[in-house]
Amino acid sequence: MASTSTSTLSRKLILKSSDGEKFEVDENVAMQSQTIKHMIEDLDDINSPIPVSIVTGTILSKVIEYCKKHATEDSDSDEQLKQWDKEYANNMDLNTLYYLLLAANYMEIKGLLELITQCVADMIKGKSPEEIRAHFNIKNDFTPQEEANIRNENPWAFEN
Amino acid sequence: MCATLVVLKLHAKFEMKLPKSYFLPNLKFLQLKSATFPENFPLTMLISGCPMLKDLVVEGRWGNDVEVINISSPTLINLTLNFTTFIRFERPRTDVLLDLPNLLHFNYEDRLARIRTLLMRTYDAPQIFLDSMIKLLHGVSSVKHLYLSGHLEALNYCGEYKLSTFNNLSCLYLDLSGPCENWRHFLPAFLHSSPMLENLQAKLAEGTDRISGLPDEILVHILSFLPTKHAVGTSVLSRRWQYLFTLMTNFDFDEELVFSSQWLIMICQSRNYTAYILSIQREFALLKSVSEFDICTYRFESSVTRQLFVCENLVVLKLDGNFEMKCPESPFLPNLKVLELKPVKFLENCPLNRLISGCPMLEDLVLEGGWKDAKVVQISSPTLINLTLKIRTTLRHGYPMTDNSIEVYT
Repeated sequence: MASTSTSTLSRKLILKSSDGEKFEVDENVAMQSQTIKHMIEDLDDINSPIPVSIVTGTILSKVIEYCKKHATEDSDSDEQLKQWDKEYANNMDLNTLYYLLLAANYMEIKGLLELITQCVADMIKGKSPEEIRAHFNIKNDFTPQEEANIRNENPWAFEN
Repeated sequence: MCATLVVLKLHAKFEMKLPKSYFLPNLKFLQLKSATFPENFPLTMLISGCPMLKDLVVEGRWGNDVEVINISSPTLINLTLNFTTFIRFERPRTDVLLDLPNLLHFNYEDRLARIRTLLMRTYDAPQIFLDSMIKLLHGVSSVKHLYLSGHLEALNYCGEYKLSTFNNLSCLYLDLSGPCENWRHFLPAFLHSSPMLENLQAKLAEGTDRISGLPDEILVHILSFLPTKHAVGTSVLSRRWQYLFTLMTNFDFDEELVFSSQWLIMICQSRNYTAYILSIQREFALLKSVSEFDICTYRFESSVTRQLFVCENLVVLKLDGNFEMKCPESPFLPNLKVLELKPVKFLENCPLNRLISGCPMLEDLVLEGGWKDAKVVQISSPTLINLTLKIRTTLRHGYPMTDNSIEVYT
């Protein structure tokens, strides 16, 4: 009996990244992604690799790292998990965050999407428009007159 | 059919439509710019009717159902394609097939404006991209100068595939500042296929604006974590950001804020806003400078109507929705000219006359809705010009319909 339940729990899936890298993961890890969950339902052969078409191997490994952490029901308290999330996000550079956002959105991993959007929001918070532009390399494509008009429309939003 | 024409430039602001057959024996330069090219745009026919064509520029968005864009010409030397194409579900993406044996300069920009969200949902998208890109490059292997820019997602995957050999290519310009994460894999493959390359310019992804390329839904999600003030503040970053905050569904009105009327009207019109309009109404009603208030909504807070009816600058006031009209204590709308009230019902303690006497300039009055219990409705105004009444009276025990009457004095 015990062996049956273990084998269902540890059923393995193979995820294939856009650049062909393959990852073997536990089903409960992969199921954190709603997209993969739906794909598995439609899949005839559970042993064939599941293509995660828009996510590269580098990013997919990071996504899996997150999913693994959140799939295990070990002794981590909520507090510890939050701390882990924080460190996980803080270790990413801007490029990686960008691809993680796209991946989390595409793979529909709610927790990861929340974590990264919150992290990007924190980068915007407390910065002036000029600082935000510099941080994210956003090119100001307004004319000075247009920019002044926008500031005048909602002046309270630009007060310190 | 013009035999002498050498240069032809056509710009269309909306959709470019052209007749089916052409003969332009001397045309050397052709430029077509259009907001959209329809499904049956006769580009192939047009080009085959120009036996001397050397330069071709095509810019614009191709219709949703265009499957193949064919360009073939033995004489063409310079080609610029600046496309916006669509990715479609179930069917392959628009293919650009080129047969240009003497082409020397090729400038290709492929934009996929606002389509990336769709792309994310299409499982086979990279494969589609890749196929169309390989096909595209296959037809131009004679080029000397090649410029590629835009959303070249497909280039990420070229590394695994065999590119055709570019025997003449001496100058390659690549703008990989879009989401081309794996240019490191792609670039060597491209260089390998270009034995004569002398000049390479590649704008790479580092230091470029990634965040603005995210789909609306993700950016709005990010904004929703910010205090309203900061979220609205992002409107000044760039055009991409200007209206993003209006897509937000949660606003945090803890701070004392005064919104511009323009912005609120925009939000009210742009969204199904039943959930958060309530708090917006509160702010809006505080706006003393607003001259027009026209809202159709699910429900009004009674405090809103109370505040609205003392707005000195209000000229037009239209309220339509699932609310019960109560008359405020002492309405004063000295500039109001148009009043339209369409509540579910007017309450019996809503003496219209008091409301109307608070509007000394009123010219247009529209009242539509149910009336509860009122026996006599009086409307009198010396300034009123137009009056529309659609009143449903309710039947109550002991009070037959005939007891209700409406008296109008103008």
